Amino acid sequence: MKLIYRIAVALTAALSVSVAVWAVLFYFAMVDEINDETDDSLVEYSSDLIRRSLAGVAMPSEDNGTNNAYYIREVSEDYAAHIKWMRFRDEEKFITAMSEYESARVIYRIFKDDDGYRELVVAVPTFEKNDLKRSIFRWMAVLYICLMILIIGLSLWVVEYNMRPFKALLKWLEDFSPGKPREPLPSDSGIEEYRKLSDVIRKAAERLDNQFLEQKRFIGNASHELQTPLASCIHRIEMLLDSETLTEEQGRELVKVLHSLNHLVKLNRTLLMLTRIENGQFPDVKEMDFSVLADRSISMLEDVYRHRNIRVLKSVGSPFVFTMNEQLAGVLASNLFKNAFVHSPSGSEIRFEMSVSGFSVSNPGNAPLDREKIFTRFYQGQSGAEGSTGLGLAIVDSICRSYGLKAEYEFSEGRHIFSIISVSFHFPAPTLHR
Amino acid sequence: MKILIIEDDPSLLESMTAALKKDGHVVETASDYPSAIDRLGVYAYDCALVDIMLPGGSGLDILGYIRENCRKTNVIIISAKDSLDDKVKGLELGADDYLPKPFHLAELSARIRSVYRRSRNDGDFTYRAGNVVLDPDTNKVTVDGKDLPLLKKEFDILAYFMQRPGHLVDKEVLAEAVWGDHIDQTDNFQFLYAQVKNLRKKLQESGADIELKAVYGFGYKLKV
Repeated sequence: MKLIYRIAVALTAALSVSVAVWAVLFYFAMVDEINDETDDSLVEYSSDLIRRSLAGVAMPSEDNGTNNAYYIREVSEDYAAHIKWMRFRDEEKFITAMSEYESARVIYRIFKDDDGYRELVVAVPTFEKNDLKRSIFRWMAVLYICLMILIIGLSLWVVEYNMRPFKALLKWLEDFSPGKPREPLPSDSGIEEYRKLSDVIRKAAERLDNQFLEQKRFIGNASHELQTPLASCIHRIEMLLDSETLTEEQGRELVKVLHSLNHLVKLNRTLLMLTRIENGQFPDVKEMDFSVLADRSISMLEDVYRHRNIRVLKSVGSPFVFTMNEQLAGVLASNLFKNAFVHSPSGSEIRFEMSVSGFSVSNPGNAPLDREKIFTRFYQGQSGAEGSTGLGLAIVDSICRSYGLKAEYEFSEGRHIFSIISVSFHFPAPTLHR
Repeated sequence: MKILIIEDDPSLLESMTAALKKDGHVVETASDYPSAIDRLGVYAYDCALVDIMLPGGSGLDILGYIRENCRKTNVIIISAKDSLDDKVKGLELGADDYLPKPFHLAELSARIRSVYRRSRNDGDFTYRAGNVVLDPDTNKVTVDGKDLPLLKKEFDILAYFMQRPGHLVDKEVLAEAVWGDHIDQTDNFQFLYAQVKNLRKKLQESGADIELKAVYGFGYKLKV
């Protein structure tokens, strides 16, 4: 959930509760105030009536234009002893002057004249509670909506406005990739927290950069340093193999050692190649027609894998032409096709499709491979073909990334499909740095 | 041939020396920049193998020195840095060849031979072994003066061996040389065996006195 939505929801919830509580309190305060006023006038009026009644003066007529209604009744002494002498109640009363039942405030007063105890009941029509509730509710709703719009609008604007540096930092982080050239980190915010955040991010990025470069350098140096001792080992074994006194058994053992060494050499060479691709050490580019490269790879591999009887089904719409380094283009095509040949069962079919925006190579398989890992170094699928370095597809991916091509894998209808797609038709020069 | 090896790793220096001596060359060594310059200043060599990274200076400087002072010496750069930059720079500075580490002894031997052949300038670029003559310019092979028709791949294989007579050649290396750079990962060399078998048969039938000898299932060796 976006922070801004979260703020809006929280504000809405808090406002709803507080406005509701406020509405209830407001209602009771209103009622209390109105009753207070009404009761005062009722007391005064009833006192006047009692005075008149005690003095034997003529009582005001029922229909005196005040909408008040009153009557006096006799009550027992016992009743008078057990009840408060002055009580107020809210009742529905029939107001004669208005000829209908109305919400009324009613005062009950006990007084005593010569004949005994009497109770004066005076009713005055007052406000309709439901009307008041409705009215308060309506106005609260209006207030609530206005407040909501105002507060949420304001806070969204404030958040949005103040989050701009944060968003710029986020965008920068999204684009961040260690060891790649990039825009300077935005750090011109006047807000201290953002400045600190920007500082921390910059330091972390520098650390990552250094680690990345260090690691790259290490791999490169380690691979270089290995070359000389490897050469020396290979030479010694080759010389031993040439020796006349060697028994056949010893020779076979030595050949195994030599095979392992050769594998090591291949691994080392491939790792060096990866490092060089990532360092942008293949600067010369020219227009490469991948249909030609593909044909070359296919004819070579068909020769090599003739015993496996693998067919290649070609469907070349228009040739895919891309400006890149010649050697890398060759490696890209041959690695993809080699991968397909190596992992195809005997007698199966490799499909090769090409359009102006890219090409794909597919071979049959049983289960999908891990999409996340397929292009990483040393990932071996289920087959783990002998002699495979596990670096072929990593090189494909590395080459693609350095030229803004996209290497994709998908498993569909029992086939592993590897696609190389040009992201845009406007081919930029490689963006690698040295 | 008189060869100077300039290499700082004693173990590699020793193995290269032994292998080249076995090939019949006269070998001298230097393991750093000053001693290399000293030797080059005093003696004349047919070929110098120069490692780029040396204590006391760069192999490229030695190359510059050789080009200025010893015009007749062929230079093969040997470098652990298999990088285009080094290669281009080396060749621009006048190196005759560039050999990235690690290399096979057979390859070293072939490169020296080929550099030497090119520098001889006597117009004969054919390879000879026993009664077999292979001309890489016309793609023709003769046995005792008679034409031996070979298919393209058979010719390439024979040429590869004739450039490295007496040396053990790994079948994987051979496959890479003949079928292309990226032939690794294959676990089956049927395609190679078939071609070698045909080549052997043709050589035998034509009465050639050279033989492709299989070695421990690892590779082959051209025996005269």
